[in-house]
Amino acid sequence: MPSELIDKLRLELRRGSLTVAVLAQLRAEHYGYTLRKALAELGLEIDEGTLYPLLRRLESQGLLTSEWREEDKREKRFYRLSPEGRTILKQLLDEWRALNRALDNIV
Amino acid sequence: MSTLVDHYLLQLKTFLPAKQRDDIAAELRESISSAVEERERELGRLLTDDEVNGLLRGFGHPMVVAGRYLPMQQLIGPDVFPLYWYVMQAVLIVIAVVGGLMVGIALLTAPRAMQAALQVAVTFWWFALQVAACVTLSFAALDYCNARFSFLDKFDARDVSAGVWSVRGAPLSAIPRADTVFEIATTVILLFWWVEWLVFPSAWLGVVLRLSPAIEAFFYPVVALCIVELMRLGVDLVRPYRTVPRVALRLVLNLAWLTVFVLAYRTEGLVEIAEIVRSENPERVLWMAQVSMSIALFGCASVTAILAATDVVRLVRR
Repeated sequence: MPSELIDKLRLELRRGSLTVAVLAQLRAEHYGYTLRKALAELGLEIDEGTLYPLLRRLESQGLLTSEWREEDKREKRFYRLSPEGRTILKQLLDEWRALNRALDNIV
Repeated sequence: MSTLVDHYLLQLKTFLPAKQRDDIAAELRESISSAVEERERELGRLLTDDEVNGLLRGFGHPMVVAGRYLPMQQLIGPDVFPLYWYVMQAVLIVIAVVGGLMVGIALLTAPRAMQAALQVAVTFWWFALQVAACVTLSFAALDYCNARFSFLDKFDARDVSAGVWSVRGAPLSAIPRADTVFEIATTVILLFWWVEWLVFPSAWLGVVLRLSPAIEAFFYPVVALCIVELMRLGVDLVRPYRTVPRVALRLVLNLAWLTVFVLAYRTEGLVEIAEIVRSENPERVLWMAQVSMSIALFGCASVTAILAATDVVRLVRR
């Protein structure tokens, strides 16, 4: 039970952070596979089953743009932050920093 | 390798909306291929089926992955769910208790006890399923209205002392939610029985009984009273406190019920025999049913009179 509980709480904690991380990482263009690797190298593991639906959702919300393009003889879907996404990311990062400061003060 | 991936994507596509199906599958295929190629480069050989399977397991079950692409949908959201679950449990418990009593009576009195008990149990099982469906649909409608009109967000603490139904003045007292749910359950059982959506099996008595045409005069008044009663109880469920107008309404309804019970008690021959199955003495069974009905009506009238008196006391003591 304690491990289930910590898994659940960790999931809740990560959920919002993943969106911010993905948006921030897509200030530079990536396709799904390289984005996942880049995030993992920076210490944020995210499984494919979560990442790709998240990308679609962010795109449908207008925060990302995407295009199919050939690279290494294979068609790949490249994602990038949209102008609206850039504005939202800035606001989210401000919120994130304020939250961090508040949490630092609390704990 | 390709066969496993193809099968995986084929399964996944069946769960996806048609418009996005090919696009999503193409993107996932590319991602899987990249992962496979990278692993093959690291190992310097082709991956076995087991290894490809391991990679695909990392992606997740096709149905789960596809589900994440769909918009978040829920029949009953977290705002309404606790009340829904409470009402569902309480209503089903009341039906189970009433059904259990009926099964017990059938076991003790019916000539073919097991058969009769099974018949009653099946009847109540179907009834419980119908009620569960009604409760679920009602709360789904409530949740939909809340999502559309945000009426739970428009909550105003002042409503408790000066809100809908209260005209002016503070609430008289809190209404225990268990009482409200119990009343809802019994009213629903009464209404369903009255309109013959719930038929209490009586063939095990040796005769099939039904309400006689003498009851027709009461049909619409009872249906109307049940509906108004359920609406009143619905308000009590969401706003569990007594206010003067609501107590006054309950008093009026109780007096109306009392009138119905008294008139029905004074009416002869409310129950009649629809069919004789195998009884040697059907007249005696009918007489017993009529006496039971009279006792039940007397009991209901007494309880309603007490409730009406309670309402009067509440209003006077205000």
